[in-house]
Amino acid sequence: MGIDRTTDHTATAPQPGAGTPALDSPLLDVQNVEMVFGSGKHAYKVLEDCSLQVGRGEFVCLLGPSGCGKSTLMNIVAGFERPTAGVALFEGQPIEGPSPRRVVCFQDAMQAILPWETCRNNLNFALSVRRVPRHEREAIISRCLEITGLAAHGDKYPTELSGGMRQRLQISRALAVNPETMLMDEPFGALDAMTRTQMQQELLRVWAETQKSILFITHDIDESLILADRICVMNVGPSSRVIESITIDQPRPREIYDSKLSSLGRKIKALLGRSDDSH
Amino acid sequence: MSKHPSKFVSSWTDHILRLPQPILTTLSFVLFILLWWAGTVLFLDSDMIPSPDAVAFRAIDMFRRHDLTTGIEASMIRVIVGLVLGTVLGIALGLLIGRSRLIATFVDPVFQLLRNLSPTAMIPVALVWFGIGESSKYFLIFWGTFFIVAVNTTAGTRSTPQTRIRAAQCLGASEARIFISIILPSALPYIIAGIRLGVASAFMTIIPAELLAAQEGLGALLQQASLNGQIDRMFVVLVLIAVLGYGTDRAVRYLSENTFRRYTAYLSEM
Repeated sequence: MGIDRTTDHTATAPQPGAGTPALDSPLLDVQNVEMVFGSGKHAYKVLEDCSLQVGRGEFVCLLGPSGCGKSTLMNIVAGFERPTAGVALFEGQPIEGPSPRRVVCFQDAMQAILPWETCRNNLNFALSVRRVPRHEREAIISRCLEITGLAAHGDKYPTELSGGMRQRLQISRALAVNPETMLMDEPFGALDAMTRTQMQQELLRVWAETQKSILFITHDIDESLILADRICVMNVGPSSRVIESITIDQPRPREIYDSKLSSLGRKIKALLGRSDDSH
Repeated sequence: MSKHPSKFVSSWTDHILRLPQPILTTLSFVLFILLWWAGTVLFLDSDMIPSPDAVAFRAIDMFRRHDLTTGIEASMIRVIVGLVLGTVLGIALGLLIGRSRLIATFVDPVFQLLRNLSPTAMIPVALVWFGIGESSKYFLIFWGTFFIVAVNTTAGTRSTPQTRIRAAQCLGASEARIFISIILPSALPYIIAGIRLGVASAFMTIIPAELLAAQEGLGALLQQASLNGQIDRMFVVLVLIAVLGYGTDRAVRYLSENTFRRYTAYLSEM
């Protein structure tokens, strides 16, 4: 199923393929994963029987309260941790470790990027690690900075950038290595409300242009309603799992005051509330 | 339009604080010298504390007789050799302990034990091992800087944010690449802090090292002045040690804030 790339920008915002991915052959397939930390009396089961799928080009939000293990699940998908049971597959192959095909964007951008290099050099570092030939790098760097709106700030150091711009730099760097999937761990969590709204629209624009699959972690229901093709709701820990997967068919840009979306929001709140009681 | 009293008072201190830093630093020294001079004129015993001008004249005299130049040269060479040895080996060991849990497990306890032996405590042993020549001084300065630099370097390597390492792993960076491009630069501010502490330690070590067994050097000059009861010569040497230590530290700070600025400046702005 193809991704529809609208070139007419006047009528609606970019509309990539909405919410129905080819889930029979998903890009990312987490199957009944369990994650236990510690052992014996101090063992803590973060995830139990947790499953998740992301299709090619799909924007999936992983939504759950703090401490529900979303980050742990992301660490497994990223390859930083191995599950204690179950399996996580990427393109049908078990995930063995971190890979540039599944780049992570962390919440604290300043910690993830290199603060001692300019924006350009941050991207250059990524390309150098990927062994991209030098003569090809300039074009990629320019393109990636342009996509995230940092073209004019290429020679600035991260300390000269605002929080939102640093996050954009991280996204730029991720794009530079051309991953299949971008894993985003509450990337806008540390930003103020206005910047967050702006960044959400920026991210949707970047997604429309680049057609990446995105797994986006958040605890903000509204954010997930605005961004996702599909919301995977996790319950509060321990032994968390994805309790429901909610598809959103609405075209973007979305208005959260819209009645259909707000009723979805209420439904999700109820889901999360109920999951709280069941423990 | 009335002038609020407190506004009037704050304005002149504001003006002073707005002057460039080198001028403020010089003012501070000048003030100190003035107070010292006033003290010697008014109530201080000149057999205990010579006046600044007496110290200055003696300094010029010693300089003319080449006492100072030989002394400075001898001491500074020892300090620099010991510093370089201590820094290089300290960084190397610090990096190893910071990165390898195996090495840390076996080396760290012994390291923590030996740390407590001050360079001064090691003087008698150093004389037995190396004699009264230059090597014993190099060793002692090395000893004084090595542990300090190593400890700070280890702290630096361990301070690398895990996020930064993981981000680089995502990009596909090898362990070696991560070490060179992520961990080392992250550790650099700590390493420099360690070097500065090492410099201070070196200057504090060179004097006792030379007091006991040296023909030339600032410590030797101090010893000779002491035997002859020459308080003004003693003060000349003390001022010189203070100035040399200050100057060396300033040089390291200059490196940190200029040459290596992009590796250190971001910490305060994060």
